Amino acid sequence: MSAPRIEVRDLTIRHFGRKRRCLERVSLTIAPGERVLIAGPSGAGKSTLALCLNGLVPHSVDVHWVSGSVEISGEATSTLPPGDLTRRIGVLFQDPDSQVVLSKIDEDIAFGLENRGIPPVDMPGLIARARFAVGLARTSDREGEDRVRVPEQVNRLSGGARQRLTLAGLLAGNPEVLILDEPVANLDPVGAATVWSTVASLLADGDETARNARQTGSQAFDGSSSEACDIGEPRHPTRVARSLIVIEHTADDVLPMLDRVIVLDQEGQVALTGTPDEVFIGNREVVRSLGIRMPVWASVAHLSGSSHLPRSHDEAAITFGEWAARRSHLPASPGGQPEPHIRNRTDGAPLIRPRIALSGVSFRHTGSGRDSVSGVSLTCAPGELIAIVGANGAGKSTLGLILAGVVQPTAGTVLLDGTPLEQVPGIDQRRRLRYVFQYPEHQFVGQTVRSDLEAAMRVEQLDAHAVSERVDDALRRAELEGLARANPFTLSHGQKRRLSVAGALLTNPDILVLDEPTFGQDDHHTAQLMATVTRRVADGCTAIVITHDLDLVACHATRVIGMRDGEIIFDGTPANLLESDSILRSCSLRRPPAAEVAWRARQLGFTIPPVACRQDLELLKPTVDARSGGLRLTGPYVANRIGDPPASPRPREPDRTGAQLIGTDRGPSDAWLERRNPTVKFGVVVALGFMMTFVFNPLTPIVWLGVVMAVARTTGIGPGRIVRLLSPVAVFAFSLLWTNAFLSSIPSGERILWQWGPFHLTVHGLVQGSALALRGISTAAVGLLFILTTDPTLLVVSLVQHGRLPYRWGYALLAGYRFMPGLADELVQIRLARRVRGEDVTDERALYGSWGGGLRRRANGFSRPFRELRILLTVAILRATRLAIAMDARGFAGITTRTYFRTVPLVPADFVFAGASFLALAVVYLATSWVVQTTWVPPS
Amino acid sequence: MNEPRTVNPSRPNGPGTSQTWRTTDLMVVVVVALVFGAIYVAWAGPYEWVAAFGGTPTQEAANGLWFVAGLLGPYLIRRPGAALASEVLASLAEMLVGAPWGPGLVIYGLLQSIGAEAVFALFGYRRWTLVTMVIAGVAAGLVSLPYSWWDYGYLKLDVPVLATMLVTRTVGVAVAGVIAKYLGDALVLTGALKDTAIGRAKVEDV
Repeated sequence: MSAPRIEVRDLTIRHFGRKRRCLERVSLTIAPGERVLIAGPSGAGKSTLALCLNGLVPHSVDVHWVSGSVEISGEATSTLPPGDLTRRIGVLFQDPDSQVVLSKIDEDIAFGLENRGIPPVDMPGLIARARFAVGLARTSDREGEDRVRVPEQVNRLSGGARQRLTLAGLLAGNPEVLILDEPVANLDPVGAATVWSTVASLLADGDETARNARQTGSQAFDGSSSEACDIGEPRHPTRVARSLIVIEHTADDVLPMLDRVIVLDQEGQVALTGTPDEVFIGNREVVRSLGIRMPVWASVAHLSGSSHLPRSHDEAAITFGEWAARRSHLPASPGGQPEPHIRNRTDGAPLIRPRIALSGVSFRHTGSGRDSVSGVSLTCAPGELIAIVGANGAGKSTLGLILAGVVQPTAGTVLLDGTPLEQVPGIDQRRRLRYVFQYPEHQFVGQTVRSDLEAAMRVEQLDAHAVSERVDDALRRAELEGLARANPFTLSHGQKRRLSVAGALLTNPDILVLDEPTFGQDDHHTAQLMATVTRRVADGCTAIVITHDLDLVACHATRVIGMRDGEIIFDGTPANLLESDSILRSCSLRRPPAAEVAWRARQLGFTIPPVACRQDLELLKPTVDARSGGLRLTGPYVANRIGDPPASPRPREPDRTGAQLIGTDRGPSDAWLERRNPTVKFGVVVALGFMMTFVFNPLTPIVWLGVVMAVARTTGIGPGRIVRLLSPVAVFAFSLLWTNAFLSSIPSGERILWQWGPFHLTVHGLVQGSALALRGISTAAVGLLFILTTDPTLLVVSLVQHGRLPYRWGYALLAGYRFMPGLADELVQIRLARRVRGEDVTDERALYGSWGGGLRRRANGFSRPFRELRILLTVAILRATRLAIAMDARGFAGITTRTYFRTVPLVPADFVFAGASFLALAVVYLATSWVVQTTWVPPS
Repeated sequence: MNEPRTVNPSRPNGPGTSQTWRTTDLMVVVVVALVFGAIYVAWAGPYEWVAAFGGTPTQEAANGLWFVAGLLGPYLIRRPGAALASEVLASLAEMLVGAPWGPGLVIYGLLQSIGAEAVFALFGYRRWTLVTMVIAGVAAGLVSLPYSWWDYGYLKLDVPVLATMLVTRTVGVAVAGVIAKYLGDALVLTGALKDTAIGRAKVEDV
């Protein structure tokens, strides 16, 4: 395997719906085996460039391709078949939820192999190897203490594990180039660490992996590499030929892997290219002016005046420590060395008057077995900026929702300025307590930016003029004046976030809760947002920030609350948190790079100025002395002196207790009916339903229902369950019963028992109605039995294999089906978010409002499902579009021959089953008809 | 800008002219189908109670909602076969989500999309006005009527009752056309569809 040379010439791209060009005359070359970082501010076209490199643009994503070319080993991507491109170049995107295609680990990894037509016999080996490479080896394949249970169901994996799963899917196909497009942007620190350590270990033993793959499975990938000449080769001493292209905002984690950095600017042009040292140290000012986050190691090198970038935290710590030591010996420069900027911290200050006080507060979701927040007591004062940290599922968001009055605790009391929260009128709650959700989309209520802000003002009950003044002011401060008439959904991520925060701040809330305000944002936007929040805090607002970003915490928070399993396990200053390894670990946190370097420097015995976050480092003044750059530490030297920390252990992540799949995958079962071929079963059920439409007596469906229940019993489904599930159908059947009994046409000679208006009761109608009602119920019972004994995934796969369902439709359906449960969660979030925006209380207000209030309320209530549906569909479509690109990235586009990892069996017994089913219905029909004929004498 | 509207080297004639569906189009239709599959199941609850007391005429009116997916999918994607695919997949999804009617639903899905597909084809997949959508809805409702009435055994009801049902059914499916158009337009405004045919047609460059 040798990676291709990628050559981009003069590439200019414009997206549909945009006037501005996304990439502008980009020219670059990526040599075989090179490891490159592509950096740049948001909107610089980094992701578009990634899509161009592997041919997804133009094959799967339509753009205005204004000029230029992308060539892979000398061939233009636009002429190469898409399947060929994705086979050689794999991409990992940022959103863990919209890349996994199928609901089980093995099947998902196999998806890419199937698309490439790999023979099914080769798949288990390739899958096992890929799983091992990313730390998701099957429990039974693991050895010794490493036997951590890995759930086979994808929806039980954490975000980090899902990213590694997608990586495994790419690795199974053994791509020559790997592109990682912000793979950890949506992950918590621990999840991010597992992804990066996986990538690092892939590079470290990539040589070996490549050789193994070559020896075992290479024919499958390409016929060109011949085993014979590989085996005899000496093991190559340096590195595997696989190229790596990483796109990242935060370069710290990838720096040690890199050969080269390419920086794009705001206009989508290549601004800089060079080694990490040249770019981050040599062109420091350019990098900073573009708003790119400066790696901590580069800041340290800059401080000490070195032109060499440290390659480990320890090396950086030594550089930093020695700089600090040198600085203390130098005479103070005029004006003295400025201390790192001191924040308005209130650590230790007595809390005079709590704004909000929680005592013994617990919350349990309906149907959940445990409290998501349990027995929390907490007081927050005005002017505090409190960060809530902890692992996913620790109860942070729930606590935030309680503090914002969005959800009522199931136990305990919440006092707002001494008044129990439930006694505070709803409208005051909405005005004084504001919550900004992680996904701003959920809480947009207006069709334009302006109307969305106006909606936030509804609770203030101001006149139109005052509202418009305040909204203008908010637009200006959020830098959204030019977009006042745009739809909120069309804004960029950062703009959406600014809008949602601006809306929350419009009413001067006493408490502002922000959920993950900086997820996936670049430096510039983070700074902007936190500046706004800090200003409000200075004015006496209590801000609560739920976050994983400890750099943010260290820089801005006055207090940190650490949570685990619904309980508060830490309450103190950021400095205290960063000092304690055990607390960091129990909150699933990692010390951010700046704090890590400072901590290690202190551990090594250096006296250093206080540094908690990136910004602190940047604020220190470099000391330039005669020996600048003289301090050079090489890798081995550092390693000998202190030794690098061991690589992080194989990731252990808790099972994700997410929503259960609707119509869940039930797993294998021994029941005979579950083993029947789903397509055959499907056809049988349809045919039985059709046969039933020729039945017009009540007895046949009754007996048939009995037969169905007896059959159900043999597969372990009791009659009680069937009756319960059929009860809605019975309600519907009641309609058939009475309309036929009272409204059917009267045969000649039929006696009318009762008459009123158009209604006339006849015995014939009654019989007819009950026959139709029972027939509906019995047909539904058959359908229900089918649903209860058929695995949805197997059904679709079988319909593809035996039922002529086009595979593209079948697999698209499965991919969409997998994320449906996520949408149900999303709907819950949307409803909460809209409650936060005051939709409920403004409705209430309309009740005793002016004329037409009641009407407006009713209209509002009527259109609410539509508004929810619109948001839900929007979110779903956005996710589906991303998933479609991810599927194409795994070879779903341009398939020539597709193979199947799992074949659904079709055996003679299936046809016997089909025949027996038809026979059974025929027997029931004939027997019951005979009984009816011989015993039933219609009264006339 | 003097750039041509589409300069995609692998698809020189633009996305709308290609006969093969891109995966994006496929997934948009699937999402519509799945979301409506879930809505169909949820709708069955109120529908059954309405039907139980309002009888077959109200039932026929409420029936209209089951046609929305087969109208919305093609409205967004604007490709031949989109109506068929959306409605059949929605019925399949309805089954997967757990509607007790099971596989029989797929027959309805097929029949409920044929009429709409025919109307869209008649307009050459080019006209997507409110009138088109209403006609497509009504056509879908009428084409699927015979099987539906046979299956439920309505044919023996009084003629005036049947006439009322015909009217309410027509109104129901016409409303479905309106809902599909309204919803589609609302979705376009959100910018989520900028990579589909409707987005291309309606979203202005900003």
